[in-house]
Amino acid sequence: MIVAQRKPFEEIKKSLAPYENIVVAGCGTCVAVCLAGGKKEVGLLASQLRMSFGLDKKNVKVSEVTLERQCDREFLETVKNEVEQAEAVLSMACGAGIQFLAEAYPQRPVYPGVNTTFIGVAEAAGLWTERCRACGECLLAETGGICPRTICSKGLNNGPCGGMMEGKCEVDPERSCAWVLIYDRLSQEDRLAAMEAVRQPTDYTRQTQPGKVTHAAYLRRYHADSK
Amino acid sequence: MPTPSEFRQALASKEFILTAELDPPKGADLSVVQEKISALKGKVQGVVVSDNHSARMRMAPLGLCRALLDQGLEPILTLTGRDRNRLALQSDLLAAASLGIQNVLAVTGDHTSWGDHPQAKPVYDLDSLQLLGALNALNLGQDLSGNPLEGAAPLFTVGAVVPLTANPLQPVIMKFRKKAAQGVDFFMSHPLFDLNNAGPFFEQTREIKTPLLATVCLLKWEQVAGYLPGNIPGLFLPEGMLEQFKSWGEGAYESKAWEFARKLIEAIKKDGRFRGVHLMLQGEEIRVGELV
Amino acid sequence: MEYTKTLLREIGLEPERLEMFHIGASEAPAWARAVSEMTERARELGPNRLKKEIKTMQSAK
Repeated sequence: MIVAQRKPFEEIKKSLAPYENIVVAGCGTCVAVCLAGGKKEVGLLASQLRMSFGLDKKNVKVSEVTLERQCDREFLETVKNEVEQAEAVLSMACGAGIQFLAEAYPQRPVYPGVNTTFIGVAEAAGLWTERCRACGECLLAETGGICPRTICSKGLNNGPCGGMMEGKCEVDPERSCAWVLIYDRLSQEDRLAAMEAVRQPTDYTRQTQPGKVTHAAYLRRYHADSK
Repeated sequence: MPTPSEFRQALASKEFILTAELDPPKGADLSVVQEKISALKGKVQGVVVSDNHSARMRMAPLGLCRALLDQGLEPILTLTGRDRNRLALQSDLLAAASLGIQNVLAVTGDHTSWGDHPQAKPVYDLDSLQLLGALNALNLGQDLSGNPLEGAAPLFTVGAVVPLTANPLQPVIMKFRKKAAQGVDFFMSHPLFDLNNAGPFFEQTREIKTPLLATVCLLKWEQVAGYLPGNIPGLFLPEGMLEQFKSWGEGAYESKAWEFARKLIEAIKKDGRFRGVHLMLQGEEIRVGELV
Repeated sequence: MEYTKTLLREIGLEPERLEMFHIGASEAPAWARAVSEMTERARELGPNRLKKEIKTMQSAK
């Protein structure tokens, strides 16, 4: 899932300073799971904003609304009233959701309430780690299910590098070297041969910016079948 | 076809080789390192010029390498994958060849977080293995996309680095074999302090005959006093050695460290498994005469 | 509790104004001590600025 972190309070407050009527829009999917922008977090932040503006002797109306997802138009439509009655929106969704919300309501300034960080997993309660870089050419089959482009600090396709020390990464001695992990995993699975070949450089055409994916069943609808 | 570089000839000759590391200046003014260049001249058969060593931004090695050639020294250009994408890496190599620089040490490169521009984008478009592949392709007259090069192909003498005392050792040996298979003319080890520690590595790599130079690094007292495994990129100081160095005390450290280095160089010469010594004097290059 | 105090700190309110005590229903002395402690803290910290601002804003409407 996409993992995000609420932005520092001061930064959020500063971006909303010009307004007297704000709606904080949460998202019930990824950011709710990582405790950054779900209904509860929206409630806490809205409370903080009211109190903080209050301390500044400013009477600011802060409404709250949380939608299922901000990356789907059908859900964005449901908050029309809340958004249109406000002067500005603070979106707690991931970067994709924030942009889609802004696109759906171009007459209202939409501000980000979170920093979107990575595609990751829940290691434990309150702890999420990155696992995928969306490189578009998944090589997990050859690396025993461990992604070197994500887990290796240098994203090396052939490792370990000379900075590996006692099985740890030169950048952070608390982190295991991805390639040592891959070696061990392939070894356990009796598939070390997969690591013996020299891997070619990453194909960055698979990571075009911005990316676009059209499902095979919809090619004709979007006239994309000639591509 | 270019004339084989002097370093390439030295490698072919079976003689024991001495090289030293030199960092380019942090600036456009080469006069800053002139004293060091003059001290190294005639003492070593090759000068390895670093490439933004420890990710601290400095003049690119290309500039210093050309200056070394002008003064009659033999440069070995270090090229890391950290700062340049595959286009720039190949471009810079061709520029180097056109300037007469033919010896290249291809490395992955210390991570940007070590240096003085930690917010920079770490590139690593090519890792050390792929960089070796690029060098070999250029030597064969083509680029990485298979396009033919115009004019005479370069004749790079290609080097790579290997940590002889890595732990765990197996993945490192696998990578070493991959590098050797790519086509490497010489290897340089990570700083070595105790030849015995290299035993396990050599036992498992007997079949690889590529010339290997042992790196002797002169640590500063501050580095010894504050040493923790991993706080100097690519440098592993075994516990026993660390205790020994610390036991000398700050006052006596310097002279004892140089004495230790002298003895280590002698031991490496007699060892039989090494084709030479690479000296990392960390700024003390002027004193190279005390060791060789 | 630590987290909520952080939230208070972020907006410039003293985290000492908030505290959680685990007190059993029959532990009257513990309850009394907790109340005294919070009363003492409130005295030392002075009136909650926010309370005054809210009153001002409400009366201004």
